[in-house]
Amino acid sequence: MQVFKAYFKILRDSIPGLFIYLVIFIAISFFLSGSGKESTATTFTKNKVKIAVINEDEGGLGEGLKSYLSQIHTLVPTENDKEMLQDQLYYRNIEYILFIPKDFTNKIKNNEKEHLCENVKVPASYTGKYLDSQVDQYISTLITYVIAGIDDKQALEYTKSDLEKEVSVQLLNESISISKADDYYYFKYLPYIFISVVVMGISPILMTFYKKEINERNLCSPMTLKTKSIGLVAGSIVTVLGIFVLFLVFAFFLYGKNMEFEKTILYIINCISFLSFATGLGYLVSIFSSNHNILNMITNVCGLGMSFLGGIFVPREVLGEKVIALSKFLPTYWYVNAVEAIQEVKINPSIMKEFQINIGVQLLFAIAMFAIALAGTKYKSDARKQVS
Amino acid sequence: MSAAVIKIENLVKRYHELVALDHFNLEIKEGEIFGLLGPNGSGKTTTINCILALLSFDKGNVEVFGEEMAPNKYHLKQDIGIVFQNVAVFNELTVYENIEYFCGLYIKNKQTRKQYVEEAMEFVGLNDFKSFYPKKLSGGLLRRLNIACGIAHKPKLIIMDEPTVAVDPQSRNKILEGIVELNKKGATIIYTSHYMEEVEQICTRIAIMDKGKNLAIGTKEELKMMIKTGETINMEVLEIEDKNLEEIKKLPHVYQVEYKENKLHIKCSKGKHNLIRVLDYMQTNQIAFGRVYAELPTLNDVFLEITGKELRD
Repeated sequence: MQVFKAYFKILRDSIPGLFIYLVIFIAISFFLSGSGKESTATTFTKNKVKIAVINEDEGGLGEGLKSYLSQIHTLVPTENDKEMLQDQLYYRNIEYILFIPKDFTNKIKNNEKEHLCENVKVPASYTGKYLDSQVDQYISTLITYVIAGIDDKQALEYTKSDLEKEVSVQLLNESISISKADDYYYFKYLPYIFISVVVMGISPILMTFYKKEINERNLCSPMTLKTKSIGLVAGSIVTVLGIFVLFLVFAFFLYGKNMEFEKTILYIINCISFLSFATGLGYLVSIFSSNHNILNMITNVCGLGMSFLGGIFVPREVLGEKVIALSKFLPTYWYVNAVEAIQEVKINPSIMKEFQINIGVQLLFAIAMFAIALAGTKYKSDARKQVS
Repeated sequence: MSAAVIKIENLVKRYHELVALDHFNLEIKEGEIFGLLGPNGSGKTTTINCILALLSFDKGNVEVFGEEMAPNKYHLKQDIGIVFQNVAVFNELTVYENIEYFCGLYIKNKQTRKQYVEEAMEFVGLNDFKSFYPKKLSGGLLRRLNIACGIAHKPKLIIMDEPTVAVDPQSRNKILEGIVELNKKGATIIYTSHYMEEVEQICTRIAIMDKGKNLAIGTKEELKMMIKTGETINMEVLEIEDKNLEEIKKLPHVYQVEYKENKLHIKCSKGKHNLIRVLDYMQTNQIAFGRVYAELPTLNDVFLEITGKELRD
C-alpha cells in the first residue's frame, strides 16, 4: 500500500506536465481527425468562374470562344471600360477578363499561335490558371480545324464537340475514396497518443523506484519484492486506465451520438489491447533509461516511428511493400488493421475473426514487452550482483 | 556479556579480479557504536552491503541478531535501519511524505507511524521544513532527511555509511550528537567513515580496514596502545643543522625526526620525560625555538603505522 500511495504522490507531481501533454494531444488528435479525412466529394464537377469577355473580333471565331466560355462559366455582362473593369476585378465581382482583339479570326487563319488574346485576372489565383488552360485548349483545337481547311462554322462546332467529351476515370483502389466516420480517425490516431502519454505517465515513476539508492533502501526494508511489484503494477494499471477513460470520455463527448454500441465495444477491446502493449513498453523503457531526456527521446522515436510505419499517420496505400512488410512487426499495424475491421464488421460479420487475430497479435506484443522488461530487470539486478 | 548483533566470519567478496573483502572477520555487540574506519575503497561499503544482503559474497558467513542473513529474512530487516552514503529519498515527495513512506515500510499502524514520523523530524530538526521538497533543502538538511528516513521506525540496529560526507560543520555536529543519543536510547550503531575525528569522537569500538582486511580492532585507547608512537613533539625552529637533527634522533625514545618548513616534528615511543630531554638539548646547543607542543597519537597515526599510508590516501 505504501508503494501504491507513493506512486500517486509522485504522479501528482507530474500531473501538470502530463495534462499539458493530454491537451496538446487531444487538440492534435482533433485536428488530425478532421484533416485526415478524404473529401466527401467523390465525383469531379467543373467549377464555374465569374468572367467577363470583351469581344472585338471582326470575324466569327471570337464569338465562338465567347459562346463556349459562357457555357462553362458565369459570364458577367460588362462594358469595355478599363476603370470599371478594374473595380469589378478588385471587388471580385469578376475573376477573369478576356480581351478578344479585332484580328483574332485573321490570326487564327494565319496559324499565329502567340498573343491571340489578352487577359486580366486575379494574381496567382487558381481560377486564372484554370481559365488560361481552357482558353489555350479551345484555341489550339480551333486552330487545328481551321488550318485543316474546314469552314469557320464547322470548325467551331467540332471544337465545341471535342471539348465537351468526358473521360470516365476508374480508381484502382477504391478504399481511398471511401468516406469514414469521424470516430474512425479519432481511434486510428490514438496509438500515438497512448504511447506518448502512457510512457511519459508511468515510466518516470517506475524510474524513480528503480533508482539505485531508492531501490536499495526498499530492498533493506521488510517489504517483499512481491508487495513492491504489486504496488507498482496496480499504480500503473490505474494510471493507464485513467488515461484510457479520459480519452474514451472525450470520444463520447465528440462522437457519442454517432457511435454504435457494437463498434464502441470493439474499439474499447482494441484500445485495451494496445494499451497493454504501451504499458509494457513504458515498463521496459523505465528499466533502460537513466534520465528524462533519454525517456523523451525514446518516447518520440517509438511514438512517431510506430505511427508512421504502422499506417496511422500515412495511409497504407502510399506505403511501399517493403515498409508494409516491416510494419507487420509493429503493434500499430495490427491496431490499425483492427480499426479497419471494426468499420466493416456490421456489413461483413465474418471479419470478426480477423479482428480477433489482430487483437491476439497485439496482446502477444504486450506479453513480449513484459517478458523483455522482466528479463531486463533480472539483468540489471545481476549487474549489481544483488542477491535475489 | 552483551549478545552479538553482527557476526561476520571469513567473509570473501570478489569483483572479478579485485578482492574487496579478504577473509574479513567482525563481531559487533549490542549497545555499541562501532566504527568502521578505512580509506575510500577499503571495503567498508561492501561490508555493509553484505550485512544487508544487498550483495552476494563468495565465501564466509554473516549473522544478524544471531541468525544467518539473507534477502528474504524480512523479520531481521524489520529491526535494521540504514542510512546510505548517497542520499536515498524521493525528490517528488515532501520531507514529511518521504519519512512517512520509509517508516511505513516497517510500521503498519497509522497512529504509531504518525507519531514516529513526527519524532524523527523533531530528532533531526526538520520540523520547520516539513512540507519542503528535497531539492529545496541544503546539503546538510538533506543529509538529516536521509538519516530521518533510516531511523524513523526506531530500529535496534542502525547502519550509517558515511552519513556526514559533504556536510557543513553545524549539521555534522548535530548528526553526531544524534547518533550518540540514538545509542543512549538503546540502538546499536555501525558507523563507517574515513573521517577519523568523527570515529574517535563517538565510537566505543573501532575496526581499521584496508584492502578488505580487518587490520586492527579495539577501543581508541587500545588501538593507540598498539602502536609505537607515544607522543609527537612539534617545535617552531627557524634554523637547525643536520648534525643537530642526527643528535636529537639519538636521544632516548626518539625514533623519527623531521624538519620541514621551519617546523620540527619529533616522534617518540612511549616513555617518560621526552619533552624535557628535547628542550634541554635545544637550550644546551643554543638553538632558538618558538612555540612548542606535544600531541598524543591520533587514529591517523594508528592507521599510518599499521598500513604505512595516510587515512585519506
